[in-house]
Amino acid sequence: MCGICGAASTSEQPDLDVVLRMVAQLAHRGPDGSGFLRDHGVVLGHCRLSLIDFAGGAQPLGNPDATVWVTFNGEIFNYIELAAELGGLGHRFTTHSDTEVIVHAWEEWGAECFARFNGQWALALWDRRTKQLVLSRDRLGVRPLYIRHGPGRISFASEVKALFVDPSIPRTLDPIGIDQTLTYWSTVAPRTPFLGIEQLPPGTFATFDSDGFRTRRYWQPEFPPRGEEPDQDLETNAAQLRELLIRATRLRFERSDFPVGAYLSGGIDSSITAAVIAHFTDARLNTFSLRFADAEFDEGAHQQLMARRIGTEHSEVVVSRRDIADVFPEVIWHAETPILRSAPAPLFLLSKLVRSSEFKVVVTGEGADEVLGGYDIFKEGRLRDFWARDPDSAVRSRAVELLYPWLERNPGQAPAFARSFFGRELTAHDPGTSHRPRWAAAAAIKSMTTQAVRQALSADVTDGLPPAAAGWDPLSRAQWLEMATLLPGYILASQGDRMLMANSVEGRFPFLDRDVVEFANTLPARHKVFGMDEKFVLKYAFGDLVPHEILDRPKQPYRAPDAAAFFGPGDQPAWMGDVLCEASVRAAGIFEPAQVAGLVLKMRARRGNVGNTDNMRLLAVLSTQLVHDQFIAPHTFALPARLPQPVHAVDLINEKG
Amino acid sequence: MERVLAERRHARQAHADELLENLRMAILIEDVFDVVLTDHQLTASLDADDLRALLPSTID
Repeated sequence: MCGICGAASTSEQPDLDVVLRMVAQLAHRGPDGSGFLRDHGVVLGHCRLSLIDFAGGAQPLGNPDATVWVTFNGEIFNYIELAAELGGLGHRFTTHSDTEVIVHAWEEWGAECFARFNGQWALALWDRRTKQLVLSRDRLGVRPLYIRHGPGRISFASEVKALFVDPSIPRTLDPIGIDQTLTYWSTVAPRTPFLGIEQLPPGTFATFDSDGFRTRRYWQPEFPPRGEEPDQDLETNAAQLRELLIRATRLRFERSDFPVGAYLSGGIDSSITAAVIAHFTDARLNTFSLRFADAEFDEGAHQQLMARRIGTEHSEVVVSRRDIADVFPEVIWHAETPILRSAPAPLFLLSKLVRSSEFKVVVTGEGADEVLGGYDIFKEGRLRDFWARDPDSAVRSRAVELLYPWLERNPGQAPAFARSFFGRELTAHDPGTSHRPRWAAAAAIKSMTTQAVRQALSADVTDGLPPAAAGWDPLSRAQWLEMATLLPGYILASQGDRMLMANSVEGRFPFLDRDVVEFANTLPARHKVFGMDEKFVLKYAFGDLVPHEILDRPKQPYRAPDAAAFFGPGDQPAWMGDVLCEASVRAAGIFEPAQVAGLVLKMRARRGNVGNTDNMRLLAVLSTQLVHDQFIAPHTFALPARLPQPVHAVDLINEKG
Repeated sequence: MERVLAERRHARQAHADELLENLRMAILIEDVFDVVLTDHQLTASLDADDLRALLPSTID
């Protein structure tokens, strides 16, 4: 895992000093060393978290004749197989790193190489033969890549804060990016919360040369037409899923020169990945868990049950409400976006525990809910489809009472409200049926925004569904929407890469393995959500490895205290007064100061004990204000730390001979 | 009087649970068979056992 950055221009030489400052700004992503390559019209930068081939993996790295160079963040897990294939085609390798496979694969297959990679990556290739810069990002957006481009020039970096060290790049919030975040919980790629800063969409590569900047998608989630799934047999599908997931987990656990740990959340997904490591590898496993001082959120009993069952060396961090409030500014500094939940903050503290335990890599269960139908939103969609078949039915609406049995205030306790909430915008054949209530609930935050933000309407994300989606099962469309919004924009970013890399820890996600995802997408919907039973085929496939107390417990999403963390009993952190004062709110220009003042009064009166909408409102305001305070407001942007040592320098402009 | 009221509450809850169980099964049935059940089938004509009886022939 690493940080990458760089700049290219068709008309002038990019400033090496600026790129070196960009590298330094990313030092948390790669504290084990740094490097740069300078050539005519381009500078590539890199900082390194060394996991594979410590001696030979310094970057930027080139091919033997120095015509193709790469700066690379991530892992190509099938690099050994690719190196063997490329070796058979006559390519000579001088290192044992996955990085070198990339330059040879580019030489051999050109842009077709990305479809052959099974991994998680963001990379930049410089091809001296064509004077072309190529950027690429993995299929589902595990690794981030941000871009600023204009006529004849481009800059790129793993994080926006690195782009912002270039004083020529303006720092402004994008009202449309904010509008998307206040609807979908994240922006929709290529948009970001910052005006003029794009992210390379997952499954896409881009080229920059004298013909300009172009992007092309090499992969996107595809599903078979409903009823035409290749295999309808649950036994067969479960066996195949088991084989693929075991292979994916072993690849991620065994292909590292340093010890790999595993998260245990207390749920099914991380229990399965940890159990697979324990049963199918010889290594001693260290597991890490997040616990809460608040019993309402704590899953310690299930975590410890699983750790005992598979015999791991188990470590845990207990997070209090005050811990969340204290680290929140640092969390937003790394997340670089408004967020509607405090949930990333405890994950930041968990990765700190991992790093302090001298681990650099963890395997986690992320992605299972999106790939195998685990989220409640898929059940909500199923239920709304059921209701929409006869919207006037006197009894169909009662099905909402089946949702969220674990919630203290569940729909069964307030059926009238639940029917009104889940019955909104109930239109047959709406491709967004599953998501409308959630999007509408989040959008309630916008009643607090300024006129400028309210006017910035973005396109409906369902417009991006491919034409074939009309024939998919509604569950497949809902999965596609999750993979276009929440997964890359929040789960893998604000709760994933950013919170892990803040403490120089790499996450690896077996459920997002290329072969697992492509197989799961071919499954009949009922094998994923069987009526109202989520991840049915997964539970069927791994029932022998996970205790029934975990397997049979109602799905409980990961949650953390929200408003109560900031307005509970006790003093508030000083930073809150700074960002919530009228002058700061007015300067940011996103929320109406009077609305924010009213919200703060309400929070104080109720000590943060408020409903879902107000929880989201508060988190949106706090995080947006912190984004403005840390990224937009400062007259000069935060000065980066020094370059990680040693520095690997490749200067092709001043090369001898 | 209290005892009678408690029994009545229990009977109501049992009825509600039965309806929810019917609905849970009906969601699955409609998904698999691509049919639309009437309110009458959802409540009176088909109980949970009837609905389950439809399953084994198509659900592997």
